[in-house]
Amino acid sequence: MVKHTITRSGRPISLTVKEFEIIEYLLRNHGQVVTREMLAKDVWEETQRATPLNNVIDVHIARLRKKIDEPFVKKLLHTVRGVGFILTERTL
Amino acid sequence: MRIRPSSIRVRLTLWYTLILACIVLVFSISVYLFVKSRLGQQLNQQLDKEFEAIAGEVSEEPGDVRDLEPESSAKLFQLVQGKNVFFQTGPYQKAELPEILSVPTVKYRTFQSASGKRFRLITGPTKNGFVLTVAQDEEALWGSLRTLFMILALALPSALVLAALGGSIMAVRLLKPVASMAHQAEKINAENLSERLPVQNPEDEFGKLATVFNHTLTRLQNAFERLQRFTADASHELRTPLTALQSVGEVALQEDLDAGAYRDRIGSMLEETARLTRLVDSLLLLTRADRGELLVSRKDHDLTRLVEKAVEDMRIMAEEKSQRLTTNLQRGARGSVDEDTLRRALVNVLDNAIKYTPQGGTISVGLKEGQNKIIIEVIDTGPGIAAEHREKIFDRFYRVEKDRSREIGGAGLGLAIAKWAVEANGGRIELDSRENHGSTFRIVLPK
Repeated sequence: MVKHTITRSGRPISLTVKEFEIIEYLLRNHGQVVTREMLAKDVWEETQRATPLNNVIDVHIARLRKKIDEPFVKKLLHTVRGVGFILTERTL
Repeated sequence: MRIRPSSIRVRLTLWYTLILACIVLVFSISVYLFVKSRLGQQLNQQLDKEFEAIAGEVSEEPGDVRDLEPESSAKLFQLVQGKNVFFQTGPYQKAELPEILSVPTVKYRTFQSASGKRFRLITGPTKNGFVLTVAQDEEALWGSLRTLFMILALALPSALVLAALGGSIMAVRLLKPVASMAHQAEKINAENLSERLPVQNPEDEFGKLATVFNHTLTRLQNAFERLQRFTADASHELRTPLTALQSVGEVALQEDLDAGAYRDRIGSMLEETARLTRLVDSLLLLTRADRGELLVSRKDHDLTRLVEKAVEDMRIMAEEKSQRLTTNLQRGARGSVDEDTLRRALVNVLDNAIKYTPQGGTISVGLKEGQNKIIIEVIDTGPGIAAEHREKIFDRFYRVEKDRSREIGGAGLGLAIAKWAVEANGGRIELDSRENHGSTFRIVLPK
């Protein structure tokens, strides 16, 4: 399986294709809240509504957070409850 | 103006009477013509006989005839000799019958005298050179015919009146079940859809009609009950997030919180709103599908790729539950499908399998090409579905275990949507399952 690698503070982090696509999308919209609908539409290319994709997105985000935030004190990937996710250096 | 009798009874009676009138009329005319022809023949035979008798006498002793006084014979005849009337009987003269001087081409003819009386005449040569004309009064014949005509003319209307009466009574008797069915049907409405029409004889036409009507009622009742259940279920499902919304809002207002905590409460309310939105979206989708408003555009697609992609999208959910998600897909299977719709069916079926298969279970997805069809199977090692639930599993809001399913997070529409999505692609979805032995959802698509 193709793996992608990013680095945070010089530390390499290995990501799956999907995780890489998500972080790429979050970086492009960095500082802005990204909703699940946006991720579904732009990362999964899912145009239909009310699919089981929301849970899938949540799991991917949880795993991604574990990889990029867990080893560090400063958290970057935040959940905005009821809205979506945001990648920012600000503490919420 | 065209008369359109409204009731079948009247129409039946009219037709019946009309047909009978035609039959009786044809019959009467036939009888009349036949009798007339027979009587005419009889008269001719009589005339023949008389002619033979008189001709015989005249041939033997022509002189005797000359001696006859015209008044002495009651018979009607004349003798002509060489273009001259040789002898006429009294009645012949009296009736002013014509002087036929030569043998005419027609043997018999009818003559009407000035007084209106009709005679039948026969003219022929005798052996000794006379031209003999014998006449017969047709009065008896016409009398008989008049009587016959009277009888028929009287019988025809009476027969018709009787026919109309009989037909009407028959129609009433015949249509009696219809009236009783209509009466019974009138009483059936939304409140008592369980009532049925009485079927007196299931073999006859009315019995069949009532049976068909009863079947329709059963279908209507089922549809009605489904609708009621659907409305009740939908209201219930909508009520849960609404209640949560309200209570979170009420509690938050009563508390004195900082901005972060308020944000959290609002977030919680938005989560419930998102749940509501998802539910309403699903309902809308199904409603629009029912109304035929959702059109799918089927194009040739690589189905193997489609299944693969759906499996890969859902794999993470299986991983979360430490389940094995294996595939056995025949390569390059193609079919004419609407990509988005079929994907939705696959994802929903996979989601269902992952949700109901316990931790560490196995889900295997297969695709194989059959003759004119492509079979996609999702086999899980879940608890299986008991026979009584199997048929209803694709119904809206149907859940085997209500509370457990709600915990897992489904509204019970996933498989209903999957069913629609497969059928919209010209396929069908089937379920094989044994309790405690897992379930197999099989999607069969046309090639």
